[in-house]
Amino acid sequence: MVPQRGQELCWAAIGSSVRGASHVREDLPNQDALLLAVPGDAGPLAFAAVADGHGGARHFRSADGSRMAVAAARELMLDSATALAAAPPSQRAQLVAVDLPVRIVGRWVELAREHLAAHPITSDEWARLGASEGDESVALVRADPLLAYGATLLAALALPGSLVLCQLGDGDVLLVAADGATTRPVPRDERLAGNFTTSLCRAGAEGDFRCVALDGAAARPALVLLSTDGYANSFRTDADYLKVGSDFLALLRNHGTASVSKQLPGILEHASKHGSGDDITLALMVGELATDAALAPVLPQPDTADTATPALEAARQQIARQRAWIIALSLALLVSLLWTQREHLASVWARGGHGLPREASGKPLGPLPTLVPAAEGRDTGLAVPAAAASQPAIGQASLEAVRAAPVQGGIEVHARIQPTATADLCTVRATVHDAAGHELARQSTQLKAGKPLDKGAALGGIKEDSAELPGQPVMLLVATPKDAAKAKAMRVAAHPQFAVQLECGAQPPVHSGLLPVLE
Amino acid sequence: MSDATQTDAQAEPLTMPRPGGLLARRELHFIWLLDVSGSMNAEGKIQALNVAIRESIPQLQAAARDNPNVDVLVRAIVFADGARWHLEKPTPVADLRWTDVVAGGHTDMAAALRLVAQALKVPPMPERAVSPVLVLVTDGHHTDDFQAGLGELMAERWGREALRMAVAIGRDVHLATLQDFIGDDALRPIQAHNPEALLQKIRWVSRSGIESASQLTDQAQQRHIAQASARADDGDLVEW
Repeated sequence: MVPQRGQELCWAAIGSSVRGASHVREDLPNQDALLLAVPGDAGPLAFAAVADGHGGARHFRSADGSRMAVAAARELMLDSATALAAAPPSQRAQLVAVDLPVRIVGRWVELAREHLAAHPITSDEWARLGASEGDESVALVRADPLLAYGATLLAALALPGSLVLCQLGDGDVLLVAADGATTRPVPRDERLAGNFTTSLCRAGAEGDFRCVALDGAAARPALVLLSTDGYANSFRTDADYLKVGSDFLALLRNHGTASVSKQLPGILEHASKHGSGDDITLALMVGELATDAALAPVLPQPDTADTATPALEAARQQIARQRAWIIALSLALLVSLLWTQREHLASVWARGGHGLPREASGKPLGPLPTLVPAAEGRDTGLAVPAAAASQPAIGQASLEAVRAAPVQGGIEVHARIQPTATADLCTVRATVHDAAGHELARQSTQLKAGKPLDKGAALGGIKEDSAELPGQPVMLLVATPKDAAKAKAMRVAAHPQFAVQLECGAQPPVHSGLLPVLE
Repeated sequence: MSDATQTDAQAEPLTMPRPGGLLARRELHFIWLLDVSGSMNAEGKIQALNVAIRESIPQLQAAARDNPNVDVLVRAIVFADGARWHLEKPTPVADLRWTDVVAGGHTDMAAALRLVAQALKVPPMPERAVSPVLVLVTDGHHTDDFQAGLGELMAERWGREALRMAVAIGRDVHLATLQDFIGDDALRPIQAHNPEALLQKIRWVSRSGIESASQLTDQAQQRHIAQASARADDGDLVEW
């Protein structure tokens, strides 16, 4: 089913950035950067950006420059989200094409100058540049020190009914439709050939941006893919590269977002090793149509646009019916939960809601749950809006009405679980994070055929005392860690956050995003 | 709110098919443009050139080994009365064997530039590649319309993108022509005044050309890198 006009998509974002094989050999850092943000309970808002810090001795701080690039894009694009969403299409196009690049470049320059002021270029850095590229390069960087920070930028912002895409320099932005058709939505820059690229560090960089605002059906792809040029350069031909669009869509349908997320580093490292040797960074903004389990067996080809099979269409219609049912249920849950938690929510918004994206009405959109990276043994995957509205899970499993509150000895995390009917063993895992998203403590329990396993009782248990909502209520006590610093970070005053994961059999796990712990 | 980044995460063993089509290293096309005009017969220059190129093959191979993410492919054009391929097939550097060139005729440098321009069209050149390396070796003045030939070369994307280097044999070379070919004062023609110097310079351009073009930087920086690694003229011994 193609989403209808006015129907809002929910997005997830996954990504990975790997150090290039040649960078490993030459002991160079990963000069790419990646930034993802999915405001899970705020509706169809999602942001992803990748940046490629230039190679070459004169860009000796490009790893910093690429991080500043994605940070500037995030700040400016999320700040502009309300205005962009509210603007009529023609005005939105103008804002995106002209206003946004000027503001992003301005912010990047500001960040780079601040960094330069705090960390002046050292004599060692000058000496290395002179030895590598000669006095002329040294003179160039002395005249314009921001050259040291040069980087590209590719960013995507999904808004209700609109999709904003911006690119400066090389790399690729791909849109993948539900049938696998893969397109490049950003106009080509004919100047980009060989190793030449436009850059944030070039004078007039704002004029080199290629930004588009897509509306209507074009703004609702199954998948948005952003990659630094190290990825495309790893393939034999452009057609070989473009195939990643339909292939990633098939992987997401067959294996789930969380599993694909875990495999991304391996996929990208392999590509770098056997291809370009360059750093590779990939961000995937995953629309709902990319993860519908009923579409899993479909392996679409890019050249089959608008030729959906009857079976596929039937599956999509079935999903649409399921989704409508779940959305109705979710709204009921939302109203109920908001009513019961109105005082907590009011206090949280009063405490931390400033500066968050706002709707046109000025109402805060709420905290932005994010992905939990796979690094350091933490869970990874899809950020699903769980605190207020429920999200139709992959398969039958779902995770609803999640909240957490401090109790003696730790934090109690409550969730409602609908385990998948096809898997008899599910694991529910709750994690508590500090305000920066670092995990402090975790707890888990197992459910079998919808019932808790006794052995999990000491770790987590089941409460049946609030059974007015459908789904199975689960409570896990995440104990306060012994580590004093972590224990301090678990206190509500330190704004800890929590997340919940439900994993049933071979189904992809369902995640809540990071949500505040309520007093 | 914290944002999610996943940088340099530990890669898990792959358990799913790899997305996309065939992976490939990018090709680095290294093309000699060799002057085999009659003047090269004088004072053993053509013999010295053959020796230098044959002796530079290990340098090419070493540079290719040091840059395993590019496939170095070598070709050679000779020009005298017109221009022709001496080694037409892009040859993997590991398979490279040098057949001596012989000299005789004029110095139709523009014809060589036209021939290489044709070879740098897409196709037969791939869309994705690192900058080609063109090394022009000459001992004299061009005898045809050099600027017209250069214009044809620069009309091709890979011609413009190429790292163009030049070796001047002896003192009769019109260096401004070679500088035009290079296209940037940041990189100067390399001069060789005796067989030993020619050997060293040919070895140097072989290695430096590949190393510079393999860098993930733009063309201007590659020239700076190449120039920064250039040896100063070493030899007071002037035979040519």
